[in-house]
Amino acid sequence: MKKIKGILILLLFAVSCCALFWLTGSRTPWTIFQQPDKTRGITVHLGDIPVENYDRMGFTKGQVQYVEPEDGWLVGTDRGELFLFGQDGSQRWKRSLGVGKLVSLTLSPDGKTAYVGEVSAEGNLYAVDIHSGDIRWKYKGADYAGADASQRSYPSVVHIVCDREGNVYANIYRFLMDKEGHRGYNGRMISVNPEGGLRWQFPKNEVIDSWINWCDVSDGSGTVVLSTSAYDFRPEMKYKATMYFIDKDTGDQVGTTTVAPIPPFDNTVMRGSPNFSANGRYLAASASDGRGFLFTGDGKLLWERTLSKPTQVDGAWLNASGRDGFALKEGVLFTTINTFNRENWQLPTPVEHPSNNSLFLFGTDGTYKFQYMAPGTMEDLAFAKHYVACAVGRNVRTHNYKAHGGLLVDLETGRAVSSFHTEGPCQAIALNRDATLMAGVEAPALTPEGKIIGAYRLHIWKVAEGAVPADTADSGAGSGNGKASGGWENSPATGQAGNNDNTTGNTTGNYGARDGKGE
Amino acid sequence: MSMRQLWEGTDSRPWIRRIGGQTKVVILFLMAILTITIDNPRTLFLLFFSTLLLHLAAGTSIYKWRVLAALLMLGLWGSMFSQALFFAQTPRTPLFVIIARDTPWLGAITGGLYVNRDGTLYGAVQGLRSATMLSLGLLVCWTSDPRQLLGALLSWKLPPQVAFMLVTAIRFLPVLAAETGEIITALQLRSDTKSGRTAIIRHIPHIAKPLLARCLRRAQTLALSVVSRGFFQARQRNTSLFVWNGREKSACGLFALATLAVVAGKLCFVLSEQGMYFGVLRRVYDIAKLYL
Repeated sequence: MKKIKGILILLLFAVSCCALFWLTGSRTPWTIFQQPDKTRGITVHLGDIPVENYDRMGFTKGQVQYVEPEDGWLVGTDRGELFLFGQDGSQRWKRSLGVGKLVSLTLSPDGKTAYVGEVSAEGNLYAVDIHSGDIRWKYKGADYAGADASQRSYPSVVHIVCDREGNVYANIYRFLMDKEGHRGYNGRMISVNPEGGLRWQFPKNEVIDSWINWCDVSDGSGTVVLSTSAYDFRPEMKYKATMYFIDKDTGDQVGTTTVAPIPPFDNTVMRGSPNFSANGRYLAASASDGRGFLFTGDGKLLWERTLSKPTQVDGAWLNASGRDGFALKEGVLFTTINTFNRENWQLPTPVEHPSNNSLFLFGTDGTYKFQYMAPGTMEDLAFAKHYVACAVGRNVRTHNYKAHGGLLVDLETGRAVSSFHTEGPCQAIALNRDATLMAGVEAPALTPEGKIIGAYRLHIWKVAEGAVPADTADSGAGSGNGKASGGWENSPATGQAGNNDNTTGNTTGNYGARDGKGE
Repeated sequence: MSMRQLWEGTDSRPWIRRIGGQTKVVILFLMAILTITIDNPRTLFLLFFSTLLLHLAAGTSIYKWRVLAALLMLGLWGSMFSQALFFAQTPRTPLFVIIARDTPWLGAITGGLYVNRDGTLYGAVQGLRSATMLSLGLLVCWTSDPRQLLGALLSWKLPPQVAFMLVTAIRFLPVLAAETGEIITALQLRSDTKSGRTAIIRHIPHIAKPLLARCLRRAQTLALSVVSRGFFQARQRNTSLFVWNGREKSACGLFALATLAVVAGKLCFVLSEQGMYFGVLRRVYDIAKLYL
């Protein structure tokens, strides 16, 4: 008996060693008995971050870009960390850029340098070598937009674009609050050459007294465009125009465009647009009041379409805010986000606007092609070939948690071709050049029921493995009758079409670009 | 094999008994640094496995293997189970639900009890750290004469009091085991229960007091013996008896360099995560991330 006991102990020990060998090889017990779920793809944890309330306006962000020379994914996080991951989710390098949150990320045309913007007390703009992770140079945003720690008014490098020569154009701004409680803005655009030398700043001797959320550059027209987004609009503001056109080499203002607001709005606000077409002949934009526009490259209006008409329900103005505008070779693409109450953006609305959370595609002559409605806000877009990848995030009106994930829509058919669910809202997305792989950043959220859903993590999906639920696949293939679908009183696509030329310019060089000019 | 013999280094192969005390102490020390520094589960497992191979090479007897296996398994599985249940870090991926959060009363008190996948792995890493040191410590204990270790410590100019205390701790291990065995035997003989009088587990709660009393008595005797022999008064010590073999010294030097490289690599990686990142060290970061 004693002998058997002894043998049993040694046998158990041998089994324990085998189990340890198995466990320590990144395998986990019991999961081998489960059917692998291909739709979950590869998941990489990005570290712990504070969990935000599901319904709050500002939410956890993330940045992701496909880097073709490294065949990997560059990820920027709210923890101020920058990662380079391989296709299998292996971490090539990781570096902490400071104490701020990384809020913008773009790549140089050769895909070897990443330009990263942060919001922090310094608000730095970094140029990072993608192969090694080294910082090549950095600019302190506080030197251009100021900083006031007593008001927690910190500069943010909110948007960065790059031209064909590798020159960088970055929007820097910060919010201010005066004694009367009015919201003010300090904004400035800077341009830096690839070696890190400051080329110019706009304006030269003052700051823009408006919120500047977006900019784009065109090599074709040699112009940089800057849009304003001041919700708190006051007549005494100096920078009241909707768009400012700047010579990309000198930094001199070459023109402005002012788009008249529509009731009940005081100002036309562009948050995620405008963007030039690849050849610089067109400029597509959408406004928060629900309109989509196509301009010429120098800012003359060609046509406008109503994507989501503000409607009064029980005394409150509701509409689905317009955000993105892209002039692609497939047509002019606009997006809308959630339904909002004009009086107070935080207040819930009784109904969803039928045009909310949608992609709209028009021809360059203004002909309506389709509307595709996603079940949640499309937080981020990425383009490759004739596809657009959408990061589907929160729907603060329906609280449909099943909506979250990555979605791939074919711009030629207006149908979803692949979708991947994430537990928490998907906040950023990227596609590789041939649209076979998609990566999304998921964020955790605290639901109104007090439950934490999701985690801060990166997902890498194979597009071919994404199952498309029937309800989303058929969501919005339009009939092309020139009218956006939906039950509300949407305006027919009106306005004079301008030029019928297709916008088939060459790429500006961004890999896996989200600027819509990647192909 | 008696309880005392079990803890003494008497039956190991000659080659390992010939290795100097200095070498054994240095390897123990460097291995301790390595097990603390390394976080990679597979590398830790390999370190642990290497100590088992050393036991095999040293010819550890089957009886000692059984004791070693029992001790290691207690530590490893204990650590893994406790961390699987009570892992406090994130992310936590539940594999089994033991008590659901909405179970009446128990669910409210515990907030739910789950077997976590991440906790199991974390427990394995912690368990492997202690198991590696336990295994190597027992190897040194089972293959060394305490005088060898005392000589090593004295040759390094360690104060004799400190050296003596360290070696006494090792020397007391077999004594303590023998004492425990005797006390259990006595308790078994005195037991008035009709069934299960030979079961050791039922006597364990009663061991502490007699064991403490015996230890104090032994310590007193030892102290008297040390003082009467004038052990700490000796000014001249012949340390030539404990000369550190040149080849062993070189091997220890190499091992120390390797340990230093591991620590430096790990330090660079940790600093890179805190912002002190240098692109030229990317290869070092890769190795640290993948293997350390």
